[in-house]
Amino acid sequence: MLNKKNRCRLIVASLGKLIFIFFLSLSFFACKRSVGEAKPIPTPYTISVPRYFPTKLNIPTDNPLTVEGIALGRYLFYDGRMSGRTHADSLMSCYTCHVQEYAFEAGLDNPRAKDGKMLGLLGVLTPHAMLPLFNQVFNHKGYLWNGYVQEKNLEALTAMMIEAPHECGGNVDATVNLIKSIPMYPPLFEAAFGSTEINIELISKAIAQFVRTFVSADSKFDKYLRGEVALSEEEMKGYILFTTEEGADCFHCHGGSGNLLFTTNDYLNNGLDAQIEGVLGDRFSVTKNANDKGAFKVPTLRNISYTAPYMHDGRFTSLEQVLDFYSEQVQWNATISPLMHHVMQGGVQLTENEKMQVLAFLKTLNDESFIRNEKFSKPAWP
Amino acid sequence: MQFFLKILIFITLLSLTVACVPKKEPKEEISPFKGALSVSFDFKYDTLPFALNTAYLISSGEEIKVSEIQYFISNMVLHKDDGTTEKVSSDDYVHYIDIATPTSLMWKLNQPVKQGIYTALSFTFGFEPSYNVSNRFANPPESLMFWPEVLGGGYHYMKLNGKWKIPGASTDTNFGVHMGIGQTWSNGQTVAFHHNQFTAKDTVFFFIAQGGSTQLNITMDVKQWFENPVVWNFSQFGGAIMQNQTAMETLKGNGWNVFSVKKVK
Repeated sequence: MLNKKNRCRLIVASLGKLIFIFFLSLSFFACKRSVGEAKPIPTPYTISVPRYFPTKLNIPTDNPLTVEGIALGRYLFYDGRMSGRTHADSLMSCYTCHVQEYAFEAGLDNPRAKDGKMLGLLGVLTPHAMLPLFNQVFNHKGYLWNGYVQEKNLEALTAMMIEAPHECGGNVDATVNLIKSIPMYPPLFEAAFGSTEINIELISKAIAQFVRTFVSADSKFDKYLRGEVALSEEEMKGYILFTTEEGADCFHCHGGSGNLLFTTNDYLNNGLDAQIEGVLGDRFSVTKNANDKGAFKVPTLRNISYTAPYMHDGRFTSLEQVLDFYSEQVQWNATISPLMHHVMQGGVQLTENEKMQVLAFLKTLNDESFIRNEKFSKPAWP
Repeated sequence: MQFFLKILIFITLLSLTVACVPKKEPKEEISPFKGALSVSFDFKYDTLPFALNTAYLISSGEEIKVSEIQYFISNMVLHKDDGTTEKVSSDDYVHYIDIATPTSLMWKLNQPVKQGIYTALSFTFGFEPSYNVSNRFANPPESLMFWPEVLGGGYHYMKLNGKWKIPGASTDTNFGVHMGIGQTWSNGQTVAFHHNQFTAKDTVFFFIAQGGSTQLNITMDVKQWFENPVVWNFSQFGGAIMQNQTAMETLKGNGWNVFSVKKVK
C-alpha cells in the first residue's frame, strides 16, 4: 500500500509524463504539418573571392546565389531548348556562343562563327564578336560591348538571347512553355525558388546565378603572385613591358597585379579605325554622348589565348595580329582614349622581340583549370 | 537535501546564463566635444569654373582639353592658431575624388572632429610612402589607380587625362598627366624611387562646434598645374610621364599652388 505522500508523488509524476507526452505529440504534429506546407529553403552559396580580387560582388539582392539555383541555371545554360524549339537544327542556348573550352567565348571553330561574329538561328549575324563570360560577378559596369545592359544586370540577357533576331529569334512565351513541359524542370525550380512555377524571370535568375560562379583566378600569373611558380625571363620582361608607359602601355586599361580582372570594364575607343561616325553598336549608340563614338568595352585579357577572335568586330584572329595593331597600326580619331599615349607614332612601337615577350606574358593569363572545371561543364542530364 | 541541491544548481545555471549574455555596448554618439565635418570638392580654371572637354590655353601657348581627373588626398590635418593640430580619424585617412563621379565630390567624414577654432587645413596630395603600398585597395574605382610595381608600386596620386595641341594644328594628341612614385633610370634599369606626394595647406577660418556640422571645400585650379611657378610644356614632356621624374617633380612644385580651401558652412 502506498502512503499518502507516495500517492501524491506518483500522481504528480504521472501528470508530468502526460504533459510531456502531450507537448511532444503536439510538436511532432506541428512539425509534420509544416513539412507539408513550407516551401523548400534553398541552400545559400558563397563565392570564394580570390586574394586581391574585388570584394564588392555584383549579386542583386533579389537573386542571391543558392546551390539549387546554380544547379538549375547550369541545366538551362546548356539546354538548347531555350530557343523555344525542339528540332535538332533549331537548338540554341547560352552554350552555343559561350563555350567553356574557349573561356565561354565562341571559339574560331564554332560551327556558327562567320567573319568573327556568330550566326543566329535565323541566319542573321550578331552585330559584334562574342565577349568572354567569366569574372562577371566582379563587374559593375554593364554588359555587352556597348554596355547596353547595365541596371537590369545579367538577368536581362536571357530574354534578349531568346528574342534577338541574331540569336534565337524566338519568343519568350514559347521558351517558357517548352521549359514548363519538360518533366525534370518543375522540381528543379521548386528546389531553387520554392515553387514549381516557371517563368522567364526565374529562368533568367537561375542562369545569372550559374554565370556568376564563373570565377577564373588560377592562371600561371596568379600562381606567380601566390609564390607557387616562377615566371620565365621572357614572361617577366613581357610583364614589365605590359605595365610601363614606355613599353607596351597596356595596364591602364587592362590591369596588372593591382587590377587582377585585367580589365577596367570601361568603354573606350582604342584607335581601331580612323572613322568613328556611324560605327555599329558602339557606346555612343547607348549613351548618345559624342565622346563615346567608336568606344567599346575593354575586354579582360585573362584567358586571352582561348578567346579569339579579338576586338568588338572580331577582325583579328591571332594575338600576333593584335600586338601588331597596338604596336604600329593605331589610328588617330577624334574620340580616341587619352590613354592611347602613342597614337601619333601609330602605336607603342614594339620590336619583334618585345612582341614575343608581351605574348609570353599574355599566355601566363591563361587559366586551364577554369576551362576544364567540371562545375561549369555541361551537366549529366537526368 | 536533494531538493536544495537542485535549487542550487538551477540558481547557478541561471546566474551563469545571465553573466554570459553579452552586454550591449552603448551606442557611440557624437561626443559633446566633437562635431561633424564634411569636405566638398570642385575644380576651376583660373577664375572660371572648370569644364571637361573644353579648350583652355595654358601658359606654354598649348591648348588642352581635359577629359578625366581622378586623384587621392589623405592625412587631413586641422590647424589652430596656436600651432597645435588635430588629425582626422584613421577611418577618414584617405579619400578618392573623380570629377565625373558626383558622390566622390562630397566626403562626409565617418568620425566627428574635435571641437575648436581652426585657422588652416592641410592634406597630403597622394599618400605618405608608408601608406602607398600595392594591393591596399581591393575594389574599383580606387584599385584602378594602381601604379605598377616596376615603377615603384602603390597607386597613382592623380590621373589627369586629356588632349593637347599647338594652336592651329589640325589634330590634337593624347596626354596622361599621371603622378605617383618616380624613378631614376640607368641603362634601362631603375636605380632609385622618388615619392612625389606633397602637403597642400591653405588658410581657412572655421570652427567645429559640439554636435554641429561644418563643411569645407577644396578647389583644384587646373591651370596652376601647368604654369606656376614652372611653365609646363607638353611639347617637352610629351603625353606620358610615369617614367619621367623630372616631369613629376615639376608638377609637384606647381602643385603647391593648385589647391585652395574655403568654408562652405
